[in-house]
Amino acid sequence: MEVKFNHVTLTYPNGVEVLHDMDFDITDGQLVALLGPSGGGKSTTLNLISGLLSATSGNIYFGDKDVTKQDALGRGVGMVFQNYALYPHMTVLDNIIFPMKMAKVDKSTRKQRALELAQLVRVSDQINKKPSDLSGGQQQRVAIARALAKSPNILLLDEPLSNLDARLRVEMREEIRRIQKETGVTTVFVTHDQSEAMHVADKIMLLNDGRIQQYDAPQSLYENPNNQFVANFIGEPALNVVPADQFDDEVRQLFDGDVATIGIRAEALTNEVKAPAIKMQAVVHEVLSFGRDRQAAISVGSHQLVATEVTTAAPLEQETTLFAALSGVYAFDQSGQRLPLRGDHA
Amino acid sequence: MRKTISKTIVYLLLVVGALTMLLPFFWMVSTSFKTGFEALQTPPTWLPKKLQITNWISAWKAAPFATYLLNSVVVSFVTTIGQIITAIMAAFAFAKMNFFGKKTLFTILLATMMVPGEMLIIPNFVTLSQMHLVNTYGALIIPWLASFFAVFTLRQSFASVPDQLYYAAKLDGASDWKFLWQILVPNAKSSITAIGLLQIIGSWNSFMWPLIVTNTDKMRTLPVGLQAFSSDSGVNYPELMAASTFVILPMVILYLFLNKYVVAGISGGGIKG
Repeated sequence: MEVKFNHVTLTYPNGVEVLHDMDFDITDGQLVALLGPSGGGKSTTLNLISGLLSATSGNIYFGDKDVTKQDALGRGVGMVFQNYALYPHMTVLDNIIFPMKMAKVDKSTRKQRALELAQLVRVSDQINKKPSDLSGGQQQRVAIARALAKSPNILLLDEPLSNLDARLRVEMREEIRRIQKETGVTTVFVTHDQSEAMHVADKIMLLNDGRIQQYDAPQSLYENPNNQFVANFIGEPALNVVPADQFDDEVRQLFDGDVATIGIRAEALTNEVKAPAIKMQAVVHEVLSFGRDRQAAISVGSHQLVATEVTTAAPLEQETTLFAALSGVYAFDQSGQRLPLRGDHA
Repeated sequence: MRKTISKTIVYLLLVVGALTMLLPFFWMVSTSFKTGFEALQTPPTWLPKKLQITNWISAWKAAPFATYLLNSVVVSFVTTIGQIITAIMAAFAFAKMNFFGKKTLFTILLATMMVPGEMLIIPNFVTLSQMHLVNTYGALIIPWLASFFAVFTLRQSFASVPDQLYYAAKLDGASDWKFLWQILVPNAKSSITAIGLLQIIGSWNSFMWPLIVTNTDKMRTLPVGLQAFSSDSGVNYPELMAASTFVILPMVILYLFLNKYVVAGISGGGIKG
């Protein structure tokens, strides 16, 4: 189901406004990631969608229906909690059945549906076990099955992968995507891990300080960040930020506006001739190789930069010319807003 | 080597402790088979020279123990069940609900735990006599239907259940009532068993209160009934000990079956994920 936030704000009883003017649309059937640093407002936004928190002002719509005043149950959302919140004394099957039991679905129907869901999330062979006998990944699967049991309008996942080890995390994020595609349920999940969001989501909403920084397809977030925060947050290693006065006028003239800082992606910096690119004088200190990855430590003036495309052929500890591919160079004004290239007002 | 020595010392101390605890029970059982003369002999004998089953038979006949037993069973079970139910509901309110004055109320109730039980005897007696409940089951049961100790223990156990479980149940469509009985209570089973067992033992053994609020054989409970063996002319120890043995026997059996819950409930709150 489509979710629409219409100028929603949230103010805590102590008067602090934690979410400011949230205005967005989640398309029916999409998988959306709420991404951002701790305290950015991700979980708060999720709780507003779920109805566990209610908005201070503004309206929330599910489809055409205004659900602003409805509680969690009325909204018909399914939720997977960070610690899964499975009922410890019930078997896997009873956990999945519980929401249907509460909804007074008749006995044989609910058992059959629970078995189907167990099949969907691939825990069919575990249904008689207690949650404590399952691995983290299996608990996660059961939690998803339970959340799907009442055929929710929206499926919400709060940091679903943070309690899993690294390998399982990769496996489960693929699973979440598969299950979401198979059921077609509109899904919103919270994460602070950009690679998780980039891999799984159809769209990412990047939040910081209770504001939407950018709400876009993962690739657009990377290629076309709105502001310095987005450019900084997305990408690994992080964006190199250099004050504009380190560059000559020629570089600053490329952009439309008063350039305060210039950001350069680590993967845009190379010692091989590239165009279109900006040229710069830099000192390469060392180039490290990790399998197929490389990482070079360089400095421009007194600023330390990280580059991943500088080859081992680069001379060390002496001034060399490096190229920064223009597609990976962003200019920001004093407030951190991105400045467009001159003559490029797309 | 050092490890074995310290282990030996620890076990030695435990054995001494256990023997000290068991000695009165051994003495009780042993005395119950002795003759009246042998029971008071100096130096005392550890084991009876001849087993006297007659003490047991005359002890049972000395007072209407069948009536006492019935009264004890009724009073213990009703107070225990009542106390568990009130404790579950109050503990849920204190652990998971938000209402005006929650902290103040909790503090006031906590303060009542500092009041010695003996101080409550007179006001409770006066209240009950004005309600014309003296010498009825009501007097034996009503004052004990709620215990803040039980509320407090259960509250700790409920509070240790993560809030997410509450939200999950809410989203799954469970009301507070259903969450309490279908999720919280099954998960606090060991704590509930523990407070139940402590209460049933306390109620079974209670002496002062039943003695004060009852004055006929019809309403007396077992511990009060044991008075039958002491009179102005002295105490018939073998019969008293025989009666004491059958009075405590049900509790010993109950404890043997449920003791693991008591230990788990008191030490850990008993919730495992």
